[in-house]
Amino acid sequence: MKKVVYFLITLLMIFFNSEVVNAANSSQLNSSNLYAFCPVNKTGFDSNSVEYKVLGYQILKDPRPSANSNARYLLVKCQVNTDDLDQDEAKYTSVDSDFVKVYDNGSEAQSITDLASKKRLEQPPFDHVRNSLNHVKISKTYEFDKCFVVYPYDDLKLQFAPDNGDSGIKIDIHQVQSSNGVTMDTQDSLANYEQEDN
Amino acid sequence: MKREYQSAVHFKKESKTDLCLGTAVFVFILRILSVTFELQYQSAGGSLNWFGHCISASAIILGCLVVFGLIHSYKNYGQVAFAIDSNDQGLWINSGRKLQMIYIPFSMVEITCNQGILTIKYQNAFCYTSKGKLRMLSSGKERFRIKTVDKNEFQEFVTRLNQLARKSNEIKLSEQDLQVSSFKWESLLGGILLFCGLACTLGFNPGIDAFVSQFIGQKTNSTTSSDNFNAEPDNSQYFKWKDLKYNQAYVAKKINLTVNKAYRGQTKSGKNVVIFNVTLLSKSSDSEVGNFYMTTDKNILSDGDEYAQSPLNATIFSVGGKNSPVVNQLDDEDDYCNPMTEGTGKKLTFNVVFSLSNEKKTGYLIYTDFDLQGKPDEFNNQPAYILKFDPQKLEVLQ
Repeated sequence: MKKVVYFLITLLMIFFNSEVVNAANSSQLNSSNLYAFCPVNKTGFDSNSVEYKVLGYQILKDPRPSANSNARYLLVKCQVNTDDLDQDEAKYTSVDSDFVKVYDNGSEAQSITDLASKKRLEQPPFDHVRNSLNHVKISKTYEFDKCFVVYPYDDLKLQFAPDNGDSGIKIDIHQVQSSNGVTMDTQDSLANYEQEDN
Repeated sequence: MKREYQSAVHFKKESKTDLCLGTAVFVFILRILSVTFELQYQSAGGSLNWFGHCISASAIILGCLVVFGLIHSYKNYGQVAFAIDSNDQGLWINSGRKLQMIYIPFSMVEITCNQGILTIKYQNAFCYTSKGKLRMLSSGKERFRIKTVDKNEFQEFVTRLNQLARKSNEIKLSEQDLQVSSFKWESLLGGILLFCGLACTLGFNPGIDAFVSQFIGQKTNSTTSSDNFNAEPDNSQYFKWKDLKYNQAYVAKKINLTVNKAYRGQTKSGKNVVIFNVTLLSKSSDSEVGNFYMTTDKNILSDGDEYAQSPLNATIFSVGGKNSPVVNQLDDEDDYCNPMTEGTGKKLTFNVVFSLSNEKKTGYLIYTDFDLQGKPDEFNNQPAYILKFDPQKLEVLQ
């Protein structure tokens, strides 16, 4: 009997822990406007009680990566809030960019901070893109954007894991619909997009 | 007791089949060892390790043993194997254990003959020490293969022995025992072993190369490399040629490749292309995706990279009159992600597209982690695969 109870409790724990959320269609990329801003609005805390917020993401129409005509920049708008920190904690707190990752077909997408020059990153729309935040002040909200090179025609997932020990939540940005595994089906949210682009 | 023999039986010259069998066994074992060594050599990623040294050491020992055996059998040629004492009281035997003639009185001996092997069992025997003194030996056994001694002398010996010895010691020797060797299939077995050994030697040259270079060491390596200075490196052993089959895992050291499906189709600009849906399974934490190429050139390994096509990027198909982008397409520039670096057991499925200039020509899909004209280093995934396919048999995307 005990074993069964343990088993059920374990099952329940697994159930509650797996916070993989499939965002509603409204927040996924779609054909009507590939470059529209898609809201996410998820909040989380790290172990130092710094608050992280993913506001949403957006495929940038301009500029574009040069190498591949299908490639686009994906800008993820985030905020970091230090309201819950006290003065002492703030001294030892640094914020790095690991809390948001984007996976392109199962592999981690490359962040623009590895690709673009420092000068490029100072200009809009990349002016809030950061790698880390040092010397945070208390009771302040920082804009902390992340930008990745992605292929909109691939499976795209956003992982939001503010607490390092946690796998966090995963949000589908684009779930490929393909019956043959190679080309996009007409039901795909981006199926009609190609004709209107360029 | 003097060393005077009657009805002496001498060793005869080693027969050809015996020599053949010996050589065959030698070649065969040498071959097995070098193949084992080669496998070890490959799995160690090209670096020599203790196992390789053990193998080569044991091969040298084995070689010495065989040579010693052959010399020994030649040394015996013409010597007395066994004889009856001139006093009709006992036997003289050429003892393999004492390496000299020993004397056994008839009362202490028991002689049997089975399957061509003469076994002489004794409770006590005598021999002379180096100082010429008589010494008694405790019980023992000596064996002789009838084949190795002179046949006529042996028959004479048996007749004489049967006359002298008591009834119980009588050797019953049939004609069969004399003619049939201890093992009927000896020569056939020798032939098979020799054939296998030679076939292996011819079939797996790299092994014997590595093996030989083990014996001779660095010196040979330097000479061969200077000999090959102008020649192209032969790296064909790192590439495996196979027929393309769907859902079959092509196994390599770090990554298994599976081709799930392949299609033929047209891009929106009307170009003929072929598309492969592939899955890579990473088996190592430091594996990298590697490179895909396509070619119609059978001699791609000697012709080199310029005859191999690289995959296309950002392909848009025309399917049923509508433009349809390829999903999860491999980016040849490889600059947006570093797949497969996240550990073992990870699966990655994606599409690789090549332009198809001639549908009638046999195509080859190449998957390699190193240059077509190069050799893998210890970090590379190997072997590389070259998968043959017929473009006309591929399903068409319409």
